[in-house]
Amino acid sequence: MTSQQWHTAENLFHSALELPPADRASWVEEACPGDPAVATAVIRMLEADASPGDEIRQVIRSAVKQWMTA
Amino acid sequence: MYGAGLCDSAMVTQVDPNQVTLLLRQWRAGDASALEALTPLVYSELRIIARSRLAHERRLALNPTELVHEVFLRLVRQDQPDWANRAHFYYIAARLMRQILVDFIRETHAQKRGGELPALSLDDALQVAQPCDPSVLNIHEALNALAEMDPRKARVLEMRFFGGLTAEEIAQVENMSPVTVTRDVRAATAWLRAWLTSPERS
Repeated sequence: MTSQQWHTAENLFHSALELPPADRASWVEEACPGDPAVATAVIRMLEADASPGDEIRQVIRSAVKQWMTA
Repeated sequence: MYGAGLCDSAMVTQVDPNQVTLLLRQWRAGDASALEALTPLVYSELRIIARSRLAHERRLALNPTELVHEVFLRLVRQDQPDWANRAHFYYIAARLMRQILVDFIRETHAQKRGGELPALSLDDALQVAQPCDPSVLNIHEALNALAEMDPRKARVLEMRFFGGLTAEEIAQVENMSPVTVTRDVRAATAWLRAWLTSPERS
């Protein structure tokens, strides 16, 4: 994505979060008809946001531990 | 914070806390050379903390938040808290932690590829058998990709994850409201997690 596409994606992401979860994907597709790449990115962001998990923090924490005990 | 007599010679900090405070203020005022002077001080202190922990409390590790707080206390020890200075210090420590972990994991992988490993004790062998998670490299790569689209949010996530900074601390560094930081972290983290799932589609 370009910076411009990213900023569009971000705004759509925040707007979509205001909607009921079931309505978000279709709303996003309608909101950016000319740019399927942005729509896909936003839908994937929404999916990631909705999925539980703290894997980034865990991965970094585990790497810190390995570094400190190496 | 530590029991008496723990690795005293290694624990002594040679750096004048006032000097660190001054450098932080200079950097915040726009003097890039102050950051260059600060970085090696923080780096060496992070390594000292890691090594002194190792000597006394083997296998006990700190999380990123605890690490950056500890290095700040050791280097600055200020009586009057200057929250903006402290947050900027944490930012430096977060950047360094990212660099240290990426270098460490690359080295570990290179050693494993290198063959010629010396004979290992069972304990060491168990450590080697648990590979460093390459995901830190993926996170690093993803943050580089994010930085191309949006350098500020890449910095925000770096502070959040590699330094464990709070929204308030990040807000001090970026000169914005904590509410905006929280909002940015949510969007950028969602992008990062999607990227980690399949980078080619993000």
